[in-house]
Amino acid sequence: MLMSVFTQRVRARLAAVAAGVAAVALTASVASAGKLADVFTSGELAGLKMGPIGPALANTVASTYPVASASSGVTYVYNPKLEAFERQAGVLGPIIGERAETIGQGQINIGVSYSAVDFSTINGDSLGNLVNQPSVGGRVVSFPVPGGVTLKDGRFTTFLPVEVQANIDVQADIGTPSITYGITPDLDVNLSLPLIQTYLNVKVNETVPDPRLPQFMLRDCNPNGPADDPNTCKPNEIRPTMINHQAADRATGFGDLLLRLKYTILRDKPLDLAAGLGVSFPSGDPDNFQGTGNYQVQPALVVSKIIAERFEPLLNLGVNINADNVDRSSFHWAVGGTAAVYGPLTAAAVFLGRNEFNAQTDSVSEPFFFQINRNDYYDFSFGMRCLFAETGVISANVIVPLNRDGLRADYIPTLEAEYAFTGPWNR
Amino acid sequence: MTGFQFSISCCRFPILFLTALLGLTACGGGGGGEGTPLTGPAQISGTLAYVETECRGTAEGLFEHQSLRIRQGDREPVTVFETPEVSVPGEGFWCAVWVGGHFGDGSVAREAFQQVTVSPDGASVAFEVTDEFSVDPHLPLNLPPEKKGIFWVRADGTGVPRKLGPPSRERSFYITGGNFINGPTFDLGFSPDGGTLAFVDKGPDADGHEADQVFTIDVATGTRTQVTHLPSSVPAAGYPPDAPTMRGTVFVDDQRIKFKSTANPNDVNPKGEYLIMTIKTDGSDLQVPLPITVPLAGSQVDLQFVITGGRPLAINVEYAGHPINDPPLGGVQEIWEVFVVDEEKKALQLTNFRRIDTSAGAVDPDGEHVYFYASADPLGTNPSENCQIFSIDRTGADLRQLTNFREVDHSLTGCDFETNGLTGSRPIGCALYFTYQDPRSRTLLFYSECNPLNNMNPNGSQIFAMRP
Repeated sequence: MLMSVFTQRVRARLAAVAAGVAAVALTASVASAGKLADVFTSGELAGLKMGPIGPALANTVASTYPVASASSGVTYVYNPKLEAFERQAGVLGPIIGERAETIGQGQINIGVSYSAVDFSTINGDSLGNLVNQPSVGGRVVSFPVPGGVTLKDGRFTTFLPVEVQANIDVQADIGTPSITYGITPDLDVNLSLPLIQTYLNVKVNETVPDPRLPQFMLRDCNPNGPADDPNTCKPNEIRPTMINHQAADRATGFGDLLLRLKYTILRDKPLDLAAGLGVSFPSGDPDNFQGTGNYQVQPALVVSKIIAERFEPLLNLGVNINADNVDRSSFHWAVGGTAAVYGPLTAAAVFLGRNEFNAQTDSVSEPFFFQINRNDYYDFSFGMRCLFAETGVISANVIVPLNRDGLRADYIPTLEAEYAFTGPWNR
Repeated sequence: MTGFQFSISCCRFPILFLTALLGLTACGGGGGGEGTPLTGPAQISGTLAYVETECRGTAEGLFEHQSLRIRQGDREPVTVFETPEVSVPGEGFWCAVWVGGHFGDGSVAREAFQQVTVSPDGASVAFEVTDEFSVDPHLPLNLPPEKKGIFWVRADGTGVPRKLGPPSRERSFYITGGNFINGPTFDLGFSPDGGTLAFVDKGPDADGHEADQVFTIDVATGTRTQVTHLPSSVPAAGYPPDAPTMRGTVFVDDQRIKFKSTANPNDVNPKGEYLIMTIKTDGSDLQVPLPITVPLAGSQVDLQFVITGGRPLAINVEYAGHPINDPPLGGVQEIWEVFVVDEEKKALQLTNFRRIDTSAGAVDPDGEHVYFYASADPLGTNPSENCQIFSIDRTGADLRQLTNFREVDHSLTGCDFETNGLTGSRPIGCALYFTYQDPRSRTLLFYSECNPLNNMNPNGSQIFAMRP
């Protein structure tokens, strides 16, 4: 008995760039069939018990999206002599991470970023080649044999263990419009709402019985031998089999709405110090890997210092508090800086860290493929920024992982464009 | 098990050890999980209850009495119940016979204690005492009414044993040809919460005819409830006509009881074998966990993934065919193999020895190992075919022989407690009966007549503890 099921996969990659900050009607996530998490619990994969992986992926994916800096690349200060706002000379701000400087009262910065995330590993194991554990606590992934079968060594069984090789492809294209407004000289507010297209494709190859468990070997028989030969396979005799399954889906929708405030406490004394507060609203659908599903509060401290108008080291320390489950909060930090390279060019290099207090979702009850653990994420972000038209900035950045914890992409590229201007009520 | 009944003069030996081992689950370690590392000496961390039968043979005759003793952890055992001494003039020689045979279990066929069990928390012990089944030989037990029945007592020995109800009217043993005693059948068990006891007694079936049934007693109130109403049946082929048709009542969880029966409700047991069945405590949902043992014609793989279930049970399954070792000195010719069955009834045969005396023991708390005992020699390390304890992976791999008992070049009895004639002469090969595993220390306990470790056991059957 040999079955082979192959499904032709056609994938179109769309560039998800939101246009401006004009009001965008909130639309429900558009998935071709159900939710992405349902891929693991319905259809051909339903019995594989990979269901718990869905919420685990959703929570981890939504927490991993890079969030561009709320700090404007260009800042203004009011010149009372000129009775006008002057653009501050100096380095452009970071792409990922925050600096303490505010944009300036009445100033507006609008931006849009695009990131492409293609997850490749989980806990260091390739998502493209996940193989189940042969046995977990004495239990095995199996196919039932209700009528029973005699193994090669003469023993009887009503199930046969299965070796499962899974290829899980999880991708996200994230376009994030953002607007920052200077309420006071020392207080900025930023609003960001990502538009996300997520894609999930799961391919599974199964071998039964599991060749890693030789105690379940079936009788060697000749399928083409003479009928009276005892070594000839009997009609419909159960024999080793390989089977393929596949399921895929994609969804487009908004991610979690992020509102951030930044208040500069100190300037040049001797550093710039700001306090930040972010609130993330669960507007993204976690079952489509587009949101965390939780309210999150993100207090932070931001320290930076512009040196000789060419360098700006920075340090961010913050906590991401999960308002629905404080135990699943995490500690965030960033250390690095920006440096004026040449003319309008600025380079930005920042080390990023996220240390979870505990695992961010329930553990997988039967971890045949992987387990959800508490993770520590360490990344390096590097990019270049270029000033144009006096107050516009375009940026290119890449984040690369420095360790192997959790769900990771080999690299995450980000493109960003922003423009700062004075609000009409300030002119 | 077959053999003469035995006891020992001037020395003590324990019987009814299986129920004592149930107390080892009661130390709070719980089931499942990975268990403790296997280092250090074997430890009993819970409660062990056992019956000592003391027999004195003199020129005047036989003098015998029994004591129920309870040991908690490493504390000294306490005696919580004793039967009056019984004497039989001119029968003093029996003590030497029973000593020579090393068969303490046989006392159930003549003495008062029939069952002993310990609650899962180790805090209490239940036992059954009766004078109705003294047959081999008959002893004038003549117990007073207050000394007969099913009793409950605190394991620390404080307080007086409380009588819960009358004793069962079904015996816990049977005698086969050659006067061989098989028993006890271990029919008294606590529920996991310790609030209920299950046991076998006679009760009406649906038509009012009396048959072996499962009963429960509420420990707090003494309320007795008949759980099953199975049709009457006869013992399986090869068993004596007065053998119990039901045995081995044990709680699977607080709501379900497992037992073996030859009854044939709804034609689930047309052959009348001792088939494992389970039933809810309210008498509903009778199930037969293992309906088949050979492939059905046209059997096919169901391409729906399932993960083999938790809470596996190690059970004995009778197989068709002629065994390769004959029952010693007569007896039933049956092939028994060890299976592991999960809660979704997925079954895997672990042994394929084709012998009469392969028997399941327990599943390790790690859920990965199964212990059983057999007289087979699958690894070439048991050439005498003496009874040994083995372990095997739950998937059927990694078979290991854990003991190395040997009494003669070739055992005559395998895993049967036998004696060679009335003289009780030895050596003939020693048997053992695996009983329990402490879920916290993972220590294995077994009852054996073997005499290992520099002649430390010259006096008959004892309880042994061992790290697996």
